[in-house]
Amino acid sequence: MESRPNSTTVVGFSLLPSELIHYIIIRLALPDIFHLKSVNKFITSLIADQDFRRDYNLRSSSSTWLFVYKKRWHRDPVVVHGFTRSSERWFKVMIGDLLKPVIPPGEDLYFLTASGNFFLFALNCSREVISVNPMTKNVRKIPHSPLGPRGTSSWRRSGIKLLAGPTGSGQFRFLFAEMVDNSPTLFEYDSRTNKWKSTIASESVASPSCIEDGDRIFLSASNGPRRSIVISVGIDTNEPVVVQPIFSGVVEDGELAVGFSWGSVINRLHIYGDGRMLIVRSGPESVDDVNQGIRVVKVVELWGLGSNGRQWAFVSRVPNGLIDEIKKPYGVMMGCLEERQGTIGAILMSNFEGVWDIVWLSFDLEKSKWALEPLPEFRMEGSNMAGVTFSSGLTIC
Amino acid sequence: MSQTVVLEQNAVETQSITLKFDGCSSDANPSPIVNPENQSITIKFDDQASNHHTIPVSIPNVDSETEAAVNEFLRKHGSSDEESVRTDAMNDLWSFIERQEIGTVVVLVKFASDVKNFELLEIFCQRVADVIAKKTVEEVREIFNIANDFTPEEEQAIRDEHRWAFED
Repeated sequence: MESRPNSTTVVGFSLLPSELIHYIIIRLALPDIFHLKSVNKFITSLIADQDFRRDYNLRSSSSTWLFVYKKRWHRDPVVVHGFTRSSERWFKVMIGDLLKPVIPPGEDLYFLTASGNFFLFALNCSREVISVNPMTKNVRKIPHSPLGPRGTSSWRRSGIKLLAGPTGSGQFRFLFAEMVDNSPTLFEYDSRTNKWKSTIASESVASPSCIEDGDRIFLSASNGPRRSIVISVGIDTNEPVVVQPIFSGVVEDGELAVGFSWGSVINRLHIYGDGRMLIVRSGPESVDDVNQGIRVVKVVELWGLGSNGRQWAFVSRVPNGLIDEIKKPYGVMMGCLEERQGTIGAILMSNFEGVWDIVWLSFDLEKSKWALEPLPEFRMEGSNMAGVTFSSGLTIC
Repeated sequence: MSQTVVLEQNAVETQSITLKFDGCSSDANPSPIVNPENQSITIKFDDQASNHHTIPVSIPNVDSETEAAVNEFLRKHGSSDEESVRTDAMNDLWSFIERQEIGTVVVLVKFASDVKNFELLEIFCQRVADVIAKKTVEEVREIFNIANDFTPEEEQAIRDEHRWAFED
């Protein structure tokens, strides 16, 4: 290979003005930006430039990322896989080294959620929660909430939300909802004070602003086949309000799985997030399937809180053409749902004979349009699925 | 649509010339037209960055096939307001660019910037970014002819600073 391109026909990269190099590399995922840092000193200075950092962070923090934690053995170093639309491959967030000093051997981790540069894990044995920030290399054990040590299955059942503070602040808030003595209660942890605060959500009549205000968070406190109890709270205020939407759609058999489903009897899976509900109805394709507990997805519907929160309101159904593209025989399914910048993102992870499959569906609220986001191959044979979440892109601090 | 610059000779008291811009400027050479009635001079730019461009552009330092592909894009993209036609034009250009050497694409980035065509700039910059994303650090240096001015210790320090991003 020639060591020097023909100078009459090629403009070397380094002859491009900085603004153009800036405009090119701003598209790269953060791991690739850091790889570029080691190319040469000029590129390093470009990446360190304040204007570049600001523009990059603005762009990255408004992009949607999907993070998945798959693991084979407890002893394996922790790696979270991340993917965003503009990339063509899965990225690895290698945080094993950061966690090793803090996690006792034999501890079993579950990936709860992520936001900004923070990743939150539940420890199954000690029933603690830790936060990891790969950028600052900070690992922090979060004190137990007023409810005490909490197992993974409890975390998976509650609505949870991680809110990263402003870029560079190194702070975050972690919220979850839970029924305590029949009262929907909001629990909030603030890393600045390292303390929890609990507030019983008020039962006052929910006004439309409690639903439609874009700055509100919705956390499920409890979900049943007919009624859900959701806490609505302003992002910056702490005045949680209870919303209790009723589901008056078709309930075939009264059986309902929330968040994850397995077994042949439960054919309706509800996935909740951000005040939305995804109903996944599945059924067997043949008699053999029935006997073996194998089904395929037949219908996927999106429901929302409606203007006053008293009913779950139907929003849209995934078109049959897309269903045909995504349906695969499965035994177990789980998923997550979120709303971000006018788009609903839904992840369906299904397992069939030891192999996991991931599907990313998105719904544009304004255009009322469903799309299937193509994902690069994600080999998961023999792995356990230990957490999936949407988040925003990581930022340079 | 062409952009117009109007030079108006003010009334007697100031004898000054006011420059009024209508739309954004272009690098193409203008040809002035004088209107004797109000003594204004109109300079019309044939805006090569315009969406309704029909005159083929000449691109320095690329082969004729590439020049033709870019011009085909400009023609097709500028010929219709329909989203599907424009998307087809972009997809065609994208497929073509994916088959070209990276050196050519870098030339095209500079060209698109010079003529201020943002659609072209997006496509070419994204392509360069896509190529970079797939390469190792050493490959990036080779392809773009960048000299490594780090010592091995300095390079290692960068990797250590951002441990989480390095998979090996």
